Amino acid sequence: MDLAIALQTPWRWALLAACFLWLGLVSSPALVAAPEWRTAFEWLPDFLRWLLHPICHQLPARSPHLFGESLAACHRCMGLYLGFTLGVAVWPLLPALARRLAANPRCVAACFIPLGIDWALLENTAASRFATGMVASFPVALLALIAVVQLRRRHSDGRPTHNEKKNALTRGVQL
Amino acid sequence: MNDKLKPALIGGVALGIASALPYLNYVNMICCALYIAGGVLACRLYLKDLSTPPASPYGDGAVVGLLAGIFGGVAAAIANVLMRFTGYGEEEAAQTLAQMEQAGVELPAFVMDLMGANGISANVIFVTLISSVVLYAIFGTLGGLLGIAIFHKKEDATS
Repeated sequence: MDLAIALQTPWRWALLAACFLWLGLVSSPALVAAPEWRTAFEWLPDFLRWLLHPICHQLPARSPHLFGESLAACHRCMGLYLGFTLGVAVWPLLPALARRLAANPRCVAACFIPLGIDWALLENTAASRFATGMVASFPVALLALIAVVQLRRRHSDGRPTHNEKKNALTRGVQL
Repeated sequence: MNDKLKPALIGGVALGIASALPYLNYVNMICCALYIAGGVLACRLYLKDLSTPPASPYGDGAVVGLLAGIFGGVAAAIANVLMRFTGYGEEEAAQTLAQMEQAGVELPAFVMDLMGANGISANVIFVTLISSVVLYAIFGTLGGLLGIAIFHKKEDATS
C-alpha cells in the first residue's frame, strides 16, 4: 500500500479536530479571562490551569500570553502541541518525506535531541523553547497518522478502505 | 487484547506510582516525560513478549500506550489520594501553592478546595481520577508510538 494514499485517510480530520480541541483547551484560560467572560466564569481560568497543571509548570514568565493572560502551557509545550497539529495537517502532503521517515522511525526519537539540549541550557529563550518543541513533535504526528491507518485497516480485515480505493483510482495507482 | 493488557498494566502502574511520588513527579514538568516513559516502557514489554513481533505495529503501540495511560491514570489517582490521607505530600502541595502565589497566580477558594487544601472530598477524588485518566491516556498513547519507533523491527511501516 502506498503511504501517500494511506495517509489521506478521512480519520486524519478527526485527529486534526482533536488537536484543535486540545489547543483550544490550553488556550481557554486566556480566552475566558476576557473582561466580558470574566464576570460569569471568574473561577474557570484558574480551574482549567489546575486541571492541566500536572503536565506543565505554566509559569507566566515562561508561557505565551493571549489578551494579556498566560496560556495553560509553557512555550515548549505550546511548541510541542502546535508542531503535532501542524504535522497532522501537513504530513499527507509530504509523501516522499513521509516514506523516508517511516522507513527510519528512530529519526523521530532523534528529533527530541535539540529539545533536550535546549532544556539543559541555562540560557534558553522563548523562541528556542518553542522551536525545539515544534521540531520534536512534528514527526510524531506521522506515527500517529500511520497508527490511525493501521487501526482503520484492521477493522476492514486488511483490505484497502473505500477511501483508499477512491484515492488510488484518482491517482491511477493499483492497490 | 490479552497480549497487550499485561505490558500496559505494568507500564501504566509503574508510571502512575512514579507520577504520584513527591519530587519524582516533577519529572513530568519536562514535557510529560513520565507519562510518555510509561507508554514507551509498555511498548518495550509488549514487543519483548511477542515471539514474532510484527514490523512497525504503530496501531498496536497506540493501543498499548492508551491502555498504559488509562491504568497509569487510575494508579496515580489512587496513589495521590492514599498519600493525601497519610498526610504525605501535604508539604509539597503547600510549597506548590506558595510558588504559584509568588508567580502571581491567585487561586480562588474553589480551586484551593479542589487542590486538596481543605482536605480530601469526593469532588477532589472524582476530578483527580477523571483528569488523570484523560491526561495519562493522551500522553501514554504518544509514548506508545514513540516506543514502537524506538524498539521496532526495521521494515516498511505500512506493510
